[in-house]
Amino acid sequence: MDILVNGQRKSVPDTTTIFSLLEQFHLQDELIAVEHNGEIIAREAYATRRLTEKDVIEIVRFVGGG
Amino acid sequence: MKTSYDVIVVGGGVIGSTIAWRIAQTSRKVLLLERGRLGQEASSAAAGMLGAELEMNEPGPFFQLCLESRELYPTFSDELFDLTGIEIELTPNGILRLARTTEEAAQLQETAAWQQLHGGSAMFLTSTQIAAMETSVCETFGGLFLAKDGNVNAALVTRAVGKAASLTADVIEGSPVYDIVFSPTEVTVRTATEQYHAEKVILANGAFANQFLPSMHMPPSLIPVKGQLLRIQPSGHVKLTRTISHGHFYFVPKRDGTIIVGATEEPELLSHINTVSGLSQLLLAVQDVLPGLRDAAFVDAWTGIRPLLPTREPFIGPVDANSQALVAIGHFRNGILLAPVTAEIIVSLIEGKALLAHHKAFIPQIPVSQVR
Repeated sequence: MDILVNGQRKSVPDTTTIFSLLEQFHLQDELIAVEHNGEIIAREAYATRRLTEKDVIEIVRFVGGG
Repeated sequence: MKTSYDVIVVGGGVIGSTIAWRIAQTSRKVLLLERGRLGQEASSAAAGMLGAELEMNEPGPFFQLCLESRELYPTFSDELFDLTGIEIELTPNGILRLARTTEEAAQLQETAAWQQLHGGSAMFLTSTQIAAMETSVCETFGGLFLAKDGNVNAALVTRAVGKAASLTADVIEGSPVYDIVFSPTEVTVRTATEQYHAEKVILANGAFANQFLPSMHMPPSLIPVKGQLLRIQPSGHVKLTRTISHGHFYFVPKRDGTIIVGATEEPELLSHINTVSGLSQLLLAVQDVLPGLRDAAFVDAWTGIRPLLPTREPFIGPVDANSQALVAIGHFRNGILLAPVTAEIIVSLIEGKALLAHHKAFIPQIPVSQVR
């Protein structure tokens, strides 16, 4: 299925979750925030939140941890 | 206190207060609603860098917006002093960005090249020149001197614009907004004790904007990003004369002789806690970058929550064609810097004037697939 990630169209398997998408970008261990269709998603939900056709994902990276 | 206004501003930080003051100067009736105390959140926590060139990684409308707002600051400072008596300690003595490896030096030289093409003031200096300018700084591979950037006392700016708003508009603190309701003829803003009516509402409540964005048919896409900062007091004759930046750390000397050290970036945290790991990163940065200050006294530490939109740029403008609702949100690391120009844009919109081309870039654009 096709989704938008940071404004770019991307083709992913139908069973993709937020976590599996992050793994594709090697971002699963990085300091990031994820928005799914305009809503911030809590880290605990990454593995269970499934994506569907035409979903809009924003991934924002941060420079400095705490 | 009346209940009917031309404009209601929600959020009394540096953005909301400056907007309320500037609209009130057009003789309109303005109400500013603040849930706590004016400026209690990110605005007064900021280090106060006016880093128009420091913070930019690419040319474009946002770079232009930052340069523009920086140029407005001297007049902004004078006007605030005349109206409120508060001196905001505008110190335009430049910012030094250090390179500690040859790769960093190469990157900074690339940055200087594009910034010079687009109105920036960056000059590459050698390590010898930097050592002569600042005696407490570590060994470097040179660095960029951003001559026109500088710093200001963020807490005093926040206090000054809050006082300016209080002198010119109606300001109610301790008054959380419960909801904002739109009808064809007016906007109703409800607090615990009152319903206020206005022709337009302006959302300027920073990291807490998600509460009201859905009522304006915008997605709640604001990401709160906690930052930890601390303050040190140099001892003896060692000092820092201008703002230093390396990587994501910065060291901002204030008029009282202390230095603000910032900052962490911790997404989605609404806490106000200074952590072991956060403070150690900042303290280690001081030892690393300013070894001459290792005997400085630790004074205090605090936090602020920056408001970030996924585009990393603010939204400034009407949410739709009706323009009963405008937003001035998502200023992230640049709220203090961008308050003057944000208020100018909002006033132009309220007065029905045409926007400059590079200002239109900040009007909210929602991707079609998100409109549900």
